[in-house]
Amino acid sequence: MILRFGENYWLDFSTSSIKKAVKRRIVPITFLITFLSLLHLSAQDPQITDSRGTPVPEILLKTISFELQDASIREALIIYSEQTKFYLNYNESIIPSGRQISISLKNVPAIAVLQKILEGTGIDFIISKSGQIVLVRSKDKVVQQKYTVSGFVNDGESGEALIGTNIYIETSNFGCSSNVYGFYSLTLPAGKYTLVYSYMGYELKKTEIHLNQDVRQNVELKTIALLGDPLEVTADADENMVSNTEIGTIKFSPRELTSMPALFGEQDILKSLHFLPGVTLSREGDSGFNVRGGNSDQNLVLLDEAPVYNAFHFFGFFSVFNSDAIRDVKLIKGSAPPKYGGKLSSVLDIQMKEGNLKEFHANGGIGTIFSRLTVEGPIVKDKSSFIVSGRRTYADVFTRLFAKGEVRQSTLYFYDLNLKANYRVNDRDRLYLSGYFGRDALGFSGVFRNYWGNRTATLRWNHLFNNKLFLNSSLIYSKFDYSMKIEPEEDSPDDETVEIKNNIYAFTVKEDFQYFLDARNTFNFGLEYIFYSFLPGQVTATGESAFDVVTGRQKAQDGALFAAHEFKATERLKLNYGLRYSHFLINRKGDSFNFTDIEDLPEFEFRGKENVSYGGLEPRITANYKLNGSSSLKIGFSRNYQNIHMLSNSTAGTPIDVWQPSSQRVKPQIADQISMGYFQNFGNNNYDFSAEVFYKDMKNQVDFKNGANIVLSTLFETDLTFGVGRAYGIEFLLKKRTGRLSGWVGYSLAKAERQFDDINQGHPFPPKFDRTHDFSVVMLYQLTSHWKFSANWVYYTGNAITIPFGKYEVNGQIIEAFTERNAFRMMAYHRLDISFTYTTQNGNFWNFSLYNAYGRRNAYALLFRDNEDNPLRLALFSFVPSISYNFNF
Amino acid sequence: MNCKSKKKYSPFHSSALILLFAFSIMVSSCFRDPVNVDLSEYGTRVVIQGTIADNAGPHFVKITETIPYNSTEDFPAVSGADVSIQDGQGNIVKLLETEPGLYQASNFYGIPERTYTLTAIIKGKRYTASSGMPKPLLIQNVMMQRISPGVNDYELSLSFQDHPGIDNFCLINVYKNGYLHNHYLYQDEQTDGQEVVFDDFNVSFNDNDVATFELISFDRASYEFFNSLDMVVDAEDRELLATFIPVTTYNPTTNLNNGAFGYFSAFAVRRYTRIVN
Repeated sequence: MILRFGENYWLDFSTSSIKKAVKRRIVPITFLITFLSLLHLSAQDPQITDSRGTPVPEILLKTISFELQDASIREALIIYSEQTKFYLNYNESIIPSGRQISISLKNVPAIAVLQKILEGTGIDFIISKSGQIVLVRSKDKVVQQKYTVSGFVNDGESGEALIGTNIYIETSNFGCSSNVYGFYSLTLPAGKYTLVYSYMGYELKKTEIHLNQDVRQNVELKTIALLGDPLEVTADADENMVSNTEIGTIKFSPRELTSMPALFGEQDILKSLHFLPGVTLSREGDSGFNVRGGNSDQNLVLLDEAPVYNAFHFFGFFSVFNSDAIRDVKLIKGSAPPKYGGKLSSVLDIQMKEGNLKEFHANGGIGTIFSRLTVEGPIVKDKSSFIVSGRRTYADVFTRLFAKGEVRQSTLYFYDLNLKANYRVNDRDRLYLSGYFGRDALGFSGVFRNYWGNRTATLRWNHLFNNKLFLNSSLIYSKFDYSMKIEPEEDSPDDETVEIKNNIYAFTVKEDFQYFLDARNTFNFGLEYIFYSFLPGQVTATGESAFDVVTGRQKAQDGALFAAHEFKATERLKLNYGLRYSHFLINRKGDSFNFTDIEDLPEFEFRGKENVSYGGLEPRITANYKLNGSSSLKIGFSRNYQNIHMLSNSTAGTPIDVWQPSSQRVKPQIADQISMGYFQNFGNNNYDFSAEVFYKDMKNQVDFKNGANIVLSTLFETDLTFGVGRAYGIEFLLKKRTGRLSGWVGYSLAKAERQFDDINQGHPFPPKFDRTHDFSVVMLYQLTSHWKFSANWVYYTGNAITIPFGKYEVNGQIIEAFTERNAFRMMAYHRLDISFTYTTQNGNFWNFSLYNAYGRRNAYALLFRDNEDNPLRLALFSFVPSISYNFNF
Repeated sequence: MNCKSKKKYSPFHSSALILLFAFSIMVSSCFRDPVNVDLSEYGTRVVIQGTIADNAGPHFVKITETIPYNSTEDFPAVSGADVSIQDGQGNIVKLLETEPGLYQASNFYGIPERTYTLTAIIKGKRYTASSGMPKPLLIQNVMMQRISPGVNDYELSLSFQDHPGIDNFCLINVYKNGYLHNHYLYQDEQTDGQEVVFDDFNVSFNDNDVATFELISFDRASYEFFNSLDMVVDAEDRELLATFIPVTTYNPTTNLNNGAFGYFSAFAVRRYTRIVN
């Protein structure tokens, strides 16, 4: 056999020569074969060692078959572990959730299946020294590609944006909620997901998306039929009351109020607030509300972002908010996020309806006090719409109801007008223009006339820079003015007239950015700049004692920068922390006086010009820790500054309800509040329970000194004194959300205190509105598909007042001896209201209400009379029935 | 500078009153029922009225007690109290009870520009108050003017010189034929060092009427007390006001401590009497 290997060799076929020849060739051949085999083996290296070169245990080299359809990675790993009987060590948190994978492998080494499961997850396996498998995040792998799904969520029928819709991935807890304009943005790793859109009162919507590029997903939700849906207060739907970070926040929409009984049958957003724990009304029918022991001027009331300086009509019996024009109401009594600032105790954020984008609608009603009409519809279908909503009183009916013989000609009316238009320029830009105009007029026999009213206008522009950065830019104008004129009666010899005026204007520029970085991080930052102009008082008197007192017009600027980060630290812990820096500048002209003769010259200071500035940092932190799927703990801390003050804190409609800015003497009010809460859903999400404790510390509180001449004191600051305040308490709320019978029970046990060196000899005393116990029950029962029954019962501790406990004589004059400030408690207040609502087939409804159904004469005031055995108790309302008819088409 | 006489209510008060008239229409048609309120927990308090004038006396301190609000009894006098006045210069006088509740100091000269302190020990509790007797304001002139020609009705006006550089407060009492017709409180914030004229006392004098003016100069604390007495709104007006506007005048500002009501005032008095013709 001749083997030729080139010319240099020829084989001798003799055995010995063959042997020699083969011997000479075997070495290189063996070497080649070994080398090739080794090459082959090294090509199989990943299958038998980990990325560090440690060999894989033999058990995982066995071949298996593995089938899996649409399972999450976590599930796949569990099944894998069971099947191979090999334990995998790993930290749960590194396993991405929500991804779904499908695997179909036959007869491959088990380790190959694990690699397939981990493909694209950024996770590697490592063989430990003891031969165990550990799963770790691979550091040198390329970052998983992420994409964003974003869009707007709207009501399917009207096109109105749905605020606070919850959007989350079906199998996990990652999600977000839509902002005030219905916009949401969620950034996730590439993959296939089922997104759920959930909003209370609307049908749940699920959509599947393939996130292999940025997706724009606008969604419309369908309402659940109103007739079947019981009234409820959504403190953020189902489990999001559990997950939402906003502690002490309550949201509701006005349609939920329509069946609740109300005074004179006129449903009122502001007055309904007091059925919730932590919120109290100053007095029956009175203006203002108090949140957690704070004064009634410490609430920031916003209507489409415009501050409303005096939110009540006619001495506080009705608020200025017409429910027909309102879409959403949010009350934050705990730590408000940094984008809100300016008031100590609460934020009441009210959003007007935008107007039906699809078709024309009108609704309205006639009630005991108001007649109402709202018209809305598209200007250009699905692109632009408007809404006009107005209501006015029946002046004559009202006065006839209360008039006694004395009242001849009198003027009494008040009205509210809400206007709004919006325009969707394109997919990235929207414009909104809203306005509110309201007025109260009160006049008596030509002797005096009283006018006051609010006016607001807001121009907003939503702009989407990209699918992660949203801007809301606003220009806001707000004004409140008051005037009163007193003239002598026609046949009176006097010719003195007195005219008192005050007003406040504010012009605001606001830029509010939201940056949705990814599923775990959202940033909110921006600025707010307010230009104020105050006229705290102008008094002009003509006639015998003519004089003119004009307090200097005061200009002020309130600028703030804010930044907040919402961070889902872990599956259970969500943090929302931020900072607001606010700076206040006041520029005041001198006061001017001009008098010919002064009667009863009051003591006042002539104030010269003044320029003062104040600034401060307001940290805000809230945290939400989910204990399990149905309960959570929340904690919050906030600091707030307040630079405008309403010193009188009394009934609206008097000339002393004046807003004044901080000054050299009147420093900004400061409040620090810490709160903690526990939330629990149970009974299959039918019931919600929450308990919250709070402690609030207030500084630079303002009050009048004893003997102050009130009307002028608000003008001249001489009789003001400063002190501190404190409030603490615990609030409970239990809600039943579904079923024929629904409603809630709220209870609060709290204490509020004030302490001023100049008042009550420096001893602490309770403010008038301090309420030890405050208990409310609201119940709704769907009797039939047409009839609904509703009842409210409230019970609360009476006001703290100062009363005369005795009398004595000085210099021949008999004088009343008063108790310490607010040392006496009026009798407890309790009242039951009931109402029946009948809804016709086409959605019109009648409401029959009985306010104060068992006619308890709750003390509005106590009058102590000389030489009378007992004081008189003044009570306002008892058994007040009312009917209202509401239509819509 | 002319000072108008004081009406009971300033235009500001009346504006506030009228303003609330409409609301009171509504309120007056609400329900009013007498209710039983237990005031016993507030007990009684001591009421001390003490004065010392710039003369030899007698100076009086009257001590009574408060009575329950709805009581029709007399104001009870407080006997057996240990009352004394000292003048800050080491002189002290003990007052003797001449009638139940009335304590008297005689032969003790009150001297302007001294600070007097009253001490009363009642049932073991000690009450004190201090008052500075100022330099007296002196009546310069009393002028007379016919109201209208031909009629014998006269208006009187009073003038005095304010002391420059110091705070001056006084009470002017106007008597006609021995009866007190009016009183006015004066403070010198706008009129320091000037000649002050008071006219329009709302009293007309006829021939042979006896007009007496009493100018009582005292310190700031006394002024504030008498001012708050004037500001005290009586129960009926309070019905309209207090429920709607926070009434901040509660107990008159007193210079007594320990929860006592009343006042202690050291004053210098000047009188001027004139028969009108």
